[in-house]
Amino acid sequence: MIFDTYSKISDLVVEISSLKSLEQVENSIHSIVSRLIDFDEEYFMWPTDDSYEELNNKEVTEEIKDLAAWAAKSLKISIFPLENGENALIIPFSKSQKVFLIYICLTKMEEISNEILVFLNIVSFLIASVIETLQLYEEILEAKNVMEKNRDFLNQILNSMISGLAVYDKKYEKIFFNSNYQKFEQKYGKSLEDYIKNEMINLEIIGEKLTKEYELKGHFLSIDFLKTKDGNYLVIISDITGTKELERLKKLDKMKTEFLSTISHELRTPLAAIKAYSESIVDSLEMLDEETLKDFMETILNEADHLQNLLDEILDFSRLEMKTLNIKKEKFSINELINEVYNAHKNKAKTNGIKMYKVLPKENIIVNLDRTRVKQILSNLIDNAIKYCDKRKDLKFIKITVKDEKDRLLILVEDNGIGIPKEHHEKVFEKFYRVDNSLTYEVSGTGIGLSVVKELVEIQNGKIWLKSVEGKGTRFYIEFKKGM
Amino acid sequence: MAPTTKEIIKKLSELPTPNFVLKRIIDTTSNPSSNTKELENAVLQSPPLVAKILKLSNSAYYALPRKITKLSQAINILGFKTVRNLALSIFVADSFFRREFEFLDSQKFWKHVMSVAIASEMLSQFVNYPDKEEIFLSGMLHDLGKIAMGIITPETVEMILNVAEYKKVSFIKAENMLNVMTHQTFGKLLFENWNLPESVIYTAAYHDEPEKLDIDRFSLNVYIIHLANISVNSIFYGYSGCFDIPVPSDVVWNRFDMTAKKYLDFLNNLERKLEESNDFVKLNTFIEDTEEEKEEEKEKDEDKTEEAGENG
Repeated sequence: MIFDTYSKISDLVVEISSLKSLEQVENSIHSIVSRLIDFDEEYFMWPTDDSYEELNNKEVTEEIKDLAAWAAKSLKISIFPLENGENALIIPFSKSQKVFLIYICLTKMEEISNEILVFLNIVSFLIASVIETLQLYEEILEAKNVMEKNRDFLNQILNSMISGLAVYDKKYEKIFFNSNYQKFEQKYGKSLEDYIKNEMINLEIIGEKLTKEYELKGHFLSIDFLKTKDGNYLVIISDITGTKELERLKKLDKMKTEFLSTISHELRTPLAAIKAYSESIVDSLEMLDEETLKDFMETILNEADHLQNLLDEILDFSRLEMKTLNIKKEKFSINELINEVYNAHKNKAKTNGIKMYKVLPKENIIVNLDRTRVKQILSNLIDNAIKYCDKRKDLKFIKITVKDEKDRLLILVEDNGIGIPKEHHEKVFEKFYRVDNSLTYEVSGTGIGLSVVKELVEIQNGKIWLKSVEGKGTRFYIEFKKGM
Repeated sequence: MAPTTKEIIKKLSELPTPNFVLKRIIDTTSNPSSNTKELENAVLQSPPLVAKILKLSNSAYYALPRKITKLSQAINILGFKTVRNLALSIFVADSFFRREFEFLDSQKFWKHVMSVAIASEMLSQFVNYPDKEEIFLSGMLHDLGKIAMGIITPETVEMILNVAEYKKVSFIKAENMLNVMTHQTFGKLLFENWNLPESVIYTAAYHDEPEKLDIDRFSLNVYIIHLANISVNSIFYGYSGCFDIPVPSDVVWNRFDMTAKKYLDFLNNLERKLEESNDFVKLNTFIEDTEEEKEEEKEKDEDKTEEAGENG
């Protein structure tokens, strides 16, 4: 059996290097061996943890299994005599002492040349390398699967975050982002994008970490900027509008509590006066002269009026809160209404040393509004003006001006009272808000007056605003559509 | 006066050489077109050799699943070259290790050479060198130069061993310090006389100084034997006249991409394997002690020879 070894090895290398699967490896071993010797049966023994498994699920005798175990230790190509007189050719495929496969075929041949054994030894080494490569390839695929699974897992976590998260590289190009970040971008567009880029440049100057609050489209965004170890930027956006709203509600709740303590005080004061005067009358009616009695009764009436006003105010407020306040529109003359209000407050103003003026257009202005409510608005503003007059001033005044502006009507209520500090201008219309701390009771009041006024103006599609300089005076502007 | 190189070469040629049976075995196994039958016929010419080979084949070292009784089976199962290696081992043990040396314990030294042979074969699997039987032979014969030196110039060996022990250096270092012909050269000249394969001659000549090997041929063989030798000395198995701390040559270390962990793993495996092979590395396993045993073996051999003859 003489052949050209080199060309045979060349063929072998070509054949073996094209193997792509374990099945092809099996076929290749089969064809190589069958070219060299005649055999009846063959087994491909695959090592498992403690034993061997025939790859094609053939029945394997104990004798063959023992041979496989021995070959896995000796790593020698052998021809082993079997009990039945046949011989078993055993080829272990191993690399670096690791056994991948043991091939066993049963043959009647006993004489095998040295050259065939040397050749099979080379086959064994080459094929072992191929099997190792195939196994490594499978391990890589498996590792890739695990990696993908991990990535999916992380993505799932990142995407289920409420916050938007993105990574920008050194050139401020976005290299990663979660789904919520995309939503933030879609919602806020370029202005957010520009803001973020600017802040990343700021971060470069400031250092490692930066947290900013950014208000956009009525939403509050909290944005964290972090520098990562590899020099990228991590940007995390959270919508904290809800948190802000919660803060507002908490504040409101506190104000309501304060309001309750204020209102009970406000209600008790007139009630105490009424009670005291009534008791005096009942206890010592025969001792009182007519003048004193009248004085007492007037006080009782005044306090009762005050009490009624307070209760009306509270009632209106609660109706406004519960949205059950109804507007009854009617046509009426605004000039008449102003005169009425003017007359109603003239005396009270006078008692406080305040002079009242009214400036009305010549012609009668008819509007279609809720007369009672408009009267209430004006009374309230004038009450306030009296209440917050500046006692240090010699000449105190309140001026009501009505201006006719085609389809609109502008009413000004002006005073030279203590004025409102600038920082409170917006807030005076808020519920329960008082410029001074309510607990000082320097000036009585519930803190709901102006908020009710504002609601009453707005419910009739009007507008109210103010101009004021602390120490000089305040001017309220009310604008209504005539509604004619 | 130390003998001259010429005298040494002359004395080397007077040492025992493989007889015609062994020569035929070596030739047959080196011929790729030879087959089982030819090798069998060659070995069968020496019945005691057949008996010893069968005895060794059935030893725990090979751990065959079944006892074998025929030479052809030994050849088929263990392979051509293993049978050749066994035959050569038996010859070397018989011709060189029966002697008693004052300064060198033959038993321990045999344990060293056989351990290196086993370690070399393991290492060839470890580094994926296919021709592990050839490596086994190289490992087994690598230090035979020391014995040859002990026979021809015993006083030199005594000097070398004294220096090695006193200075705590290796055998080769001591040889170089004394500037004598090294055991590597002794081995090389001896195996050239024996007409052994070139790989065996090279490993004998360079196994202690692999960095001096300036050709590419057989460098792997030399490197494997070098590292196997160092490994066996590292775990104190047997005796080879070295008293230094065995350190592998960096050329070899780098060629095999060795790391401390890989090397330690290998040493642990080697230690286990050598413990399993305890009987195999004993000199007595290769040489018979008593005449009685010899007679017994002879009778058995004759039976088997007949059997083998019938089969053939």
